[in-house]
Amino acid sequence: MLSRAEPRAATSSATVASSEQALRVIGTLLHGLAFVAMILLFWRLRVSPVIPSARASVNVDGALNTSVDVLLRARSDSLDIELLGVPDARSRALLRAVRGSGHHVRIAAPVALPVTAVALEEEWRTSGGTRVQLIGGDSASRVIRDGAGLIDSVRIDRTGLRSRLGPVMDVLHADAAGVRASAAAIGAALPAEARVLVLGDATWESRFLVAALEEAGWPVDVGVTLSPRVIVTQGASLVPSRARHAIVVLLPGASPSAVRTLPAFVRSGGGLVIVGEAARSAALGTLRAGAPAATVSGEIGAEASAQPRHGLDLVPIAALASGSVSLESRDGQVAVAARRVGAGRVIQVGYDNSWLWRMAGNDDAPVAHRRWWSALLSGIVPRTAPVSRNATDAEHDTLDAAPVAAMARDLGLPVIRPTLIATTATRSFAASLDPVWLLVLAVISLVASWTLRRWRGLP
Amino acid sequence: MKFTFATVQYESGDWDSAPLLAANVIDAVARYTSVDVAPSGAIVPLSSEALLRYPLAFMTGHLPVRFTAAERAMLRKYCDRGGLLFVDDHNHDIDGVFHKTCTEELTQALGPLKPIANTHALYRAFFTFVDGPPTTSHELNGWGDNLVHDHLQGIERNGRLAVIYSSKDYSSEWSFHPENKRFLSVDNTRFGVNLVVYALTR
Repeated sequence: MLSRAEPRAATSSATVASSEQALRVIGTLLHGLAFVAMILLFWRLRVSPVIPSARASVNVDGALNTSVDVLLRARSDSLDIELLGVPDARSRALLRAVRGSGHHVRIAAPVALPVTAVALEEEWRTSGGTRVQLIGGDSASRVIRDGAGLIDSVRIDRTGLRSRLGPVMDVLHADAAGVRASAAAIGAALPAEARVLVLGDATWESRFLVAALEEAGWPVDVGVTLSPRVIVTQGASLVPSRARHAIVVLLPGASPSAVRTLPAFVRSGGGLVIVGEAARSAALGTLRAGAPAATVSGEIGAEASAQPRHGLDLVPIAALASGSVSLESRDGQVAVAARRVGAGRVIQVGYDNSWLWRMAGNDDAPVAHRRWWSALLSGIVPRTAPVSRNATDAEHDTLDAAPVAAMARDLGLPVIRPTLIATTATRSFAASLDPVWLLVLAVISLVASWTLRRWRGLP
Repeated sequence: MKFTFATVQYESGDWDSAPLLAANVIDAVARYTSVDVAPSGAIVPLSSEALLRYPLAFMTGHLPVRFTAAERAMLRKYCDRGGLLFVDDHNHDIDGVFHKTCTEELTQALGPLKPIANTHALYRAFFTFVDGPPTTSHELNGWGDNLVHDHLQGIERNGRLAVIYSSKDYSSEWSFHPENKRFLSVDNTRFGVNLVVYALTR
């Protein structure tokens, strides 16, 4: 029979056995943990040497949110850039430097970035006029400002916007969502005199075109044909010459011998305006901006409307030649187009009787007609000196006229990933394993396991 | 767009006193030049916006001329835009009612008439007339006055000749059927070619 103390001793013996069992289990777990940590450490260091790519993003304002030395010190060979805005010139330069250091730069954006480009050109023969061309791939509105403040807010379509401004102070900026395009007018390279030679039949078009150009201040030579043996001349020469003429305006009916000299004239830097039916001359095949289509009659009376060129007969430019750009269209047909040929520029004007606009247009028609022609010609005046800009971005010595195009050129276009943020938030398992922490975990586990064994009285 | 010879129709007087003149000038232009000319002329009211589609217009008559306000305004606009009005006194006499009233109206609308020098480019625009405007048979003996007008007169607007005024009576001289030119030793409508060419080239 057992004494009263015997049950207590039996209970104490059971408790000790239970604690011993728990300590043994904990020790085993610590051993296992140390073993797993060492296995992972070994795998991380040896079996899985891939280092995850470094990441950075470009903010809405175009700035890179990480300094370049951080990017360069990243142990990864690749760099993932997330675009929330179009990188500005400085950010692009930094990313180019990173790529130049041997990193592979990958760019992605959650949405397509708005394309914006702006160009300015001072008009020749005008008092401080500036021509602005704005291009965008969407219908978002652009805010135009210069050094003096806000100028306008415009919404541009697929074909862009061409407008004429007064003098621009310093730099012109066109801002859209996430994109700022900036440009300064090109100047200081225009000739003191740009003489124009007008060739063609004696018509009201030649008569009023010459009048408009002279009123706008252009020095004009004229050679108009009155009969096979009679050409009325004004000025010294009927043959286009770069020594005397900056621009030739070719109307229908010019002598074939003069037309044959035009390719060499343009390739050597001269400007050429081809008007209406004159584009049908086979000798102009290598110069014209596009093939002329069948003539479309103007809308009677429209020359006195708000869209006066709708009242003019039009020789549409049906098929644009390679490198040609449309400058103006009417009812879906190209009316004015331009191209570069050699060192010169060519503008093809589809309108055949613009004199009607000047004579029968509304009150401001003579001035508008004169300005329209003068602006066209000022765009093809040969630049005789290296092109310089009136202003530059002091910080980067450059202006960002077409930031998206510059990015495409320097870094490539971004991959569009709508779920970019969620994707980048998921880090890989391997990347989350830090070898140092794995080593610390293994050592601590082994030390704890050894301490337990000593506590249990084991060697 | 073809060149169309336009005759001005005004409310007072007899604007249509030389009905064959237009055909004769058109014939001369087609005969001597390669200008793309419309085979028939146009008649345009002086007060009409349609006048602006014809940058050269011809006006004649025997009777007194009094422009309406609309005609005067349109004439001013026409000349300011670059149009050229050729006015011929069908009476050829210097004190006739057409001359007196028409020069008054032109002066009121556009300013005073001044003689055009006989060395003016008008007389060398196509054919050369060394002595200035060619004389007409009516000046020499037509009405017995033997009055020869040495100069044409003109009004300039914006540095360009906007009105050419003649007392030579080309309206009578050129108002015959073009087929009868073959009976002339020298075509007397050649000065009409100069007028058209001058308008097209200056």
